[in-house]
Amino acid sequence: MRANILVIEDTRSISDLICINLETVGYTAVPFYDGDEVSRHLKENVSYDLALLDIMLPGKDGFALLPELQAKDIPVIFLTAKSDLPSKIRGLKDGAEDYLVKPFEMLELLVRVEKVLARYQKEEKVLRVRDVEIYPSERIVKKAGVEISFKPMEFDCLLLLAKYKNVAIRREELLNSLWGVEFEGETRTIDVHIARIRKKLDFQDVIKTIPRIGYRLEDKN
Amino acid sequence: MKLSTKISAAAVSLLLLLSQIFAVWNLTQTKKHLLDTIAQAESMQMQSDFGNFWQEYKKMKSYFQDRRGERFWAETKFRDSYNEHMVLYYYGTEICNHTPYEFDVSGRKGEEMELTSFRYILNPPRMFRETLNGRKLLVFFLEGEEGIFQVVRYRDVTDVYEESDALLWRGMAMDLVLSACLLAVLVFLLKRILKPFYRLRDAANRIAGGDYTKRIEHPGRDEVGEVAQSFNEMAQRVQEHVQDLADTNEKQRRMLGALAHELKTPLTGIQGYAELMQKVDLSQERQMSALEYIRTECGRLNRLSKKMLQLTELSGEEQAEKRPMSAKALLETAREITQWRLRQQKLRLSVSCGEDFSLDCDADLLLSLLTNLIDNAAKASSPDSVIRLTANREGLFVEDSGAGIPKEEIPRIAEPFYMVDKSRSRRQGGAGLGLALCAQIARLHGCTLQIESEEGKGSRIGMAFPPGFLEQFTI
Repeated sequence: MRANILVIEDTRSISDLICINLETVGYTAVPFYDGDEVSRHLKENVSYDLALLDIMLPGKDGFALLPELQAKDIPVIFLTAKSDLPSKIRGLKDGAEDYLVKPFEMLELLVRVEKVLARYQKEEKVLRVRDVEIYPSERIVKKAGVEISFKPMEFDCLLLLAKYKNVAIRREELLNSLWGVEFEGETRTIDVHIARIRKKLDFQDVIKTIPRIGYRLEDKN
Repeated sequence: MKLSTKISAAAVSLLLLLSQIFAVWNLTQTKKHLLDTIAQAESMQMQSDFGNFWQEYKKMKSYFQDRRGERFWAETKFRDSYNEHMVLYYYGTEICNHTPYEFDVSGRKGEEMELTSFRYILNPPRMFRETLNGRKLLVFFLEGEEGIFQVVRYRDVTDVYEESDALLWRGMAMDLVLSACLLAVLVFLLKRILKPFYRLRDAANRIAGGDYTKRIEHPGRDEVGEVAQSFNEMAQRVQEHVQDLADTNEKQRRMLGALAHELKTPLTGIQGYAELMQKVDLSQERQMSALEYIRTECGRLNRLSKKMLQLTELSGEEQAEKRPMSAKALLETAREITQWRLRQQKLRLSVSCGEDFSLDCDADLLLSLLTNLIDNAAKASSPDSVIRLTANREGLFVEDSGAGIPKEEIPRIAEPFYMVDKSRSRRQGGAGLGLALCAQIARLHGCTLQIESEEGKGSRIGMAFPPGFLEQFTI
């Protein structure tokens, strides 16, 4: 089940950017550029797992659209250029799940989307990469139906790469989310973990090394 | 120390000092006069008494056999006839003394006094002032012919001195009471007189504390009132000035905020696409479109920075560099510049300039104004419509029959970064600076930017000449 995500953003370049990002990791993105159009579209019998909603829109603005989306049980993440506190507070108070301030980084967008989906349990229970199945809650990895033992750190590393497949993750980003601190110069640790994961799962050509950036788990389909 | 305290203290102490000096002088004079009178009366009495005694003695002189008899007679006579304030000496020996005091006849001890009134008395007695047994006495001394008899007479003047001292003390007490009263009255009066100054001070403090609206009510017509009036005027100026500064500050703050906001959209695009290209294995086609997005956003930033620069440069200047220019030629140039872009949008530009006139202006700036306005008109217009560019004695105007501007937005439309329809404007590459720029250019030519618009019907925007603008330049 691929999550269906509404992208409501009037600036074409930003909208495209978000859609490409979402589709890369396997979500389905449906772009809208006008508030009134969204309103009309919601009147039809449609269902989405999440909406990314810009505040400043032609036609109905983000604050006006929020109740309509909520009526359809669609969780909302606000996209905003307004970094000012009042509009953030207003968005969250009105019932938005989260907000994202422009300009944002790719991983930030994906993490926030994933967190909200997880909260609504609209995420896949099992992550599949080729013949490998990853069970996040049970912390089990199976290859061709056979369980393979993973150390906790290796498992987290694999999970992160699999969650954001087809997107390169910087070594620092990996370090950050695995250890929660900013490690300087110790990025070699990551390389060791990646090497072990590759070996255990025979993922030599699946987890690619991107020069000067980090690693990318590739799974095109 | 407060001014009222200072003035009161000075006035009261001066009064005290002067009145005390006067009181002392006055009392001294009175005392002297009193003593004088007493002394005169006493000496006259003494002279007459002693004169009588001497006459009696001369009558009896032949009957005395010896000095003892003489002395006895004198003693008896003196005791019987003369009062107890007198002492009689016989050849320097005291023979009759009914006074409580002992006097020294030979060498007088006390202070000898000369009275002015003695001048009118023949052969006056010598007079001394003496203190005996704690009493103040005036002592008179007379010597008869041949040195047989000497008479001393005294007068107790203690009460005169006491009275005078008592008067001095009483006067002083009275003086103090009066001074206290004066002090109270002075303080009260000064408080009243100084009240406007206190009000002035309080108002100044309030203004210093940031309340620039504070004024002094009912300043009055005296000198203090004039000061208060000047103060009010000053406060008024300060308030206006501060308001001006605050307005400018607020405007700049808003502009800076708007600028930061305008920067975010292109930056989000540039950052996002660059990251996307780094991290994701995109198809050739998508890579190209990502690069194209980056390029367009950079172009937007470039335009934005150019316009911002122009705007800040223009707003720093006071006057444009002006040269005479034909209005017709100006419109033609504007048409040439915009031609290509208008043709793309299938828009027609009609230029009308009845009678050519000369315009003293900075041609580059006016062209920038006209092309900006034409650009705006083009953005608002639908294809196949006409944009009219006119020059007449009222000004230079660009008219379209496009979307128009909502009435409530017209006053703010010339503010930097103000956009009526933000998303449409941005999609068309606008930054919201065009009209702000036009307004600055109009200002530099001593004109105003005139905006007339009706929603749905179109707008007429241009540079309106003030009355008499053309006359100064027409040859």
